[in-house]
Amino acid sequence: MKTIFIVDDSPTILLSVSAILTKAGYTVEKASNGQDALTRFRGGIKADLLITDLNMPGMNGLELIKEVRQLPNYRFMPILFLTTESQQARRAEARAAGASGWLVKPASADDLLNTIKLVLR
Amino acid sequence: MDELLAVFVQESREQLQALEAGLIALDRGEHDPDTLNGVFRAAHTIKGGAGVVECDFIVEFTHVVENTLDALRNGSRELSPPLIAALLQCSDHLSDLLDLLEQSATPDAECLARGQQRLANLGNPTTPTPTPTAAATPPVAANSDRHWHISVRFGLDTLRHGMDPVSFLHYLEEMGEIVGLATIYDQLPALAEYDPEGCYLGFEIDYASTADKASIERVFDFVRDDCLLHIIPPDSKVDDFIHLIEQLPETPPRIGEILVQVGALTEKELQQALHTQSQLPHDDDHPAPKVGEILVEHHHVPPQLVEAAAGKQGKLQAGQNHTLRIQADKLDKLIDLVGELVIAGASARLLAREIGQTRLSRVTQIMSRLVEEIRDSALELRMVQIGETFNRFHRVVRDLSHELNKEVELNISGAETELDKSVVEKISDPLMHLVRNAIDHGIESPEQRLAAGKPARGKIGFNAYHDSGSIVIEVRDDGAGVNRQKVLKRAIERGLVSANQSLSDTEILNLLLEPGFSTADKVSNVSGRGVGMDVVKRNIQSLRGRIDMESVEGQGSRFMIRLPLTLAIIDGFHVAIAASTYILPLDSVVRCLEFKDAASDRDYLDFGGEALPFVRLRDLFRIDAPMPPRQNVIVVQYAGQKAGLVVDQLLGESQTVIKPLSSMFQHMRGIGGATILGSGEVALILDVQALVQLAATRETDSLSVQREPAVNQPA
Amino acid sequence: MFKPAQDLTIYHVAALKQQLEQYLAQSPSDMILDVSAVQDMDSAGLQFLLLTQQEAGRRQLKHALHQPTVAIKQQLAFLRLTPVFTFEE
Repeated sequence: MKTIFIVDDSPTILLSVSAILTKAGYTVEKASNGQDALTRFRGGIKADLLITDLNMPGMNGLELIKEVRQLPNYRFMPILFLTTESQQARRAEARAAGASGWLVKPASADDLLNTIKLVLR
Repeated sequence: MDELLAVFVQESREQLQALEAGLIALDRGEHDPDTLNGVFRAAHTIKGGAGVVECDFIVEFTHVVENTLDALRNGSRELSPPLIAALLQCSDHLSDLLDLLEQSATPDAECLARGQQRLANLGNPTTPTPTPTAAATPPVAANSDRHWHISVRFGLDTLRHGMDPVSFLHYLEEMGEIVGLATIYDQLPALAEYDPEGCYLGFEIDYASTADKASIERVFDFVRDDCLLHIIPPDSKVDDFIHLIEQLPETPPRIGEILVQVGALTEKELQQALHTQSQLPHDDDHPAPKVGEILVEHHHVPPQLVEAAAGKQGKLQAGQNHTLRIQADKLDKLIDLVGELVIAGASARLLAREIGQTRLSRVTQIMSRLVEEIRDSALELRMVQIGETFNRFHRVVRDLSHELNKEVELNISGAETELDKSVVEKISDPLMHLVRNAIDHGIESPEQRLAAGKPARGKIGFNAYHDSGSIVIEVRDDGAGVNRQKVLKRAIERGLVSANQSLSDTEILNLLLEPGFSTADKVSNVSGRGVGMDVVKRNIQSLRGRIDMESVEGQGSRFMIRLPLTLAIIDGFHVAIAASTYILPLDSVVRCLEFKDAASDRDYLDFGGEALPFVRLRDLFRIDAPMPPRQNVIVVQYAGQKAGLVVDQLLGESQTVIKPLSSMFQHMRGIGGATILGSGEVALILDVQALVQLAATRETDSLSVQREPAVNQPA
Repeated sequence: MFKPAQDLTIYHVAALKQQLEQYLAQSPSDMILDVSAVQDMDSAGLQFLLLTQQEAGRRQLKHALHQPTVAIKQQLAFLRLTPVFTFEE
């Protein structure tokens, strides 16, 4: 059973994405900000994929990705970030920070699951 | 048959014609990719349609034909005359299958066997008969139709970005099938330089999928910025691969070997590609010529690429622009209704006149004029171009000339000339006869032609044009022409003319069109079918047309067929018996005479020394009205035979729209149709052919037939 | 016989490279990889396998995969690499 860690400050998104993933058979871990998430990664939580929003109060998504990539256990973990069509420029930044790919919001359940299938090892 | 089936059958017939036309063009050496694509599309369309109407026997048959055409199109097979012949046979078979479908029948064992044989003649590498088990096969079949080639070299940091190259392959398997795969690790360095977390992998993938290019590219979205990715669409053969070979980090021979191994290229194609690639001049001052240019010279370019480049539409698709397809019977219905409208309009006008309402009269007059315009426009709708009919003869010419070991080409001009659909349908047979005749008797063998100082290949020409309310169709050949002496000798032998008769040149030529005349020294399978040129003449005459002939010995012959533009309108000659009006086609009228021996019981009269049989229409139609003081005889002619028709009054000529008789009256002898007069009255149109025959029979029987029944008379 | 200490995955290939260097430093007479315990092999692990073969060739050492697990056999078959390797039981 693969575990997917979702980070977003919007409860609506957390809820809807986790509902889709749970239904698809994944174990879901959730955090509503970067700091919380990083703490749990440092604690060695089991995660096969991280999906994070970029714009969050406190520690934003880019910082989270950079920090997580430093941790030995997650050096090669696929990381997706949530973005919108208009944020093309941030993709390069996020890639430089160590992200694997992105999900364009609003993502349909199919897009979400397909992209996950592509990047999960 | 339901409407969908009818539409499918009609469309498929048209596609078959296009297919056949394309094959003939290819056979003539017109190897342009448009033509081959058009032929392929035609087969493809038929197969698609057959799938929609769920006609499995057509789907299965066409599938194999389509495979062959596809192989030709993508260059994996080459065109040859035997293959074209085999494809033409398949086209014939498809036509048979369409006939069966139309009759709601299925092929019997013999038909199936014939079909299998014809498919076998195509010589496909494997001729799998697709099993029409709907549920299981389609996705596989659909997938295997489109082989993509994906070439990818991942960036060094791919793994560090949390991506695994192998997972892309697994993902590809979700939307297609990886048929061939080569894992490329040529970039893997020696141990000392080996970065275990770096990525050195690449893949060459032969990928069968119905997905589009965008969907396949999307798979590689996350790695695209730092990988080398080439996606080559199905059917794009050698040139894209040359480009690929140039782009890849491995050496051309190495990558070429891999491409062959994966199944993207054949060994032969690889050799061609490497050869072409090695010949590219590679210095900076002289940039290498564009790959496309080289390929065009080497004929490596898959047809569809040239097509795309030229931005051309397939020729065979022509004719679809700005036309609306309607069923012929709907049009006939419309024309029928317009006829009714003419009647109704005429009676309204008559009524208005009777009432004496000037304003009403004026309005109905305007209406009548409009209705006539509508009638003319409606008739115009039925006009079709003669080109389609002409084009069918490419096949005839090809087959016949092969059969007779002659070389003949068919040239067509005036294909856009229009004439009424009903005429077009009836002109095919006479044309067929003229073409057979021209190839059999006109065009000489290649040896004879060369000996006569002519090109070995003979020419038959079709031409059509409009000339004062008629259409003229010419059939000419550059063959041997007519030997007048031979014609005369034969005519004398046959007793058509006497030995001491002197005939004009035209009269001698016209002998050829007389019944029972044939100049061929030997009767051949092609035109010697016991049917002479007289039949052509008669057919043309039954269309109210005429045929003339010119011929120059040694240089060829020319037949000119003149036909009315439509069978719906005739120049009519109006006559009256008692209160009723009858109409004769004007061109059948030879002369009008006063009927002098009205009291006589004889059935013939003296017409310039000839005994002319005649028919009293008053008797034939059982008109019981008082005899007028004076009667008239109209001398009419049909197919060389003359007869007299006795009527009361001659009213003169005018253009007449023919309305077909309802089935109730169709067995009435001597009546060919009806029309509406300006007064709103119905007038019957006389069937001159039947009347002439009737007169002739009476004469030979020499019976007293004054009361012969007009109904139920066997023809 | 060289026996990878861990699964052939991206998380372990750095350590495996070190292990391989140490193995080669002992001037071994062959490079037969005992992969009987390997349960997982990803792209990085595959690269490592390919590297060992390449290195063995350079040093003219016999290279083979000893008792490969189903996971390895499947991965190699999927990548059409089975003919590239020698297997021994």
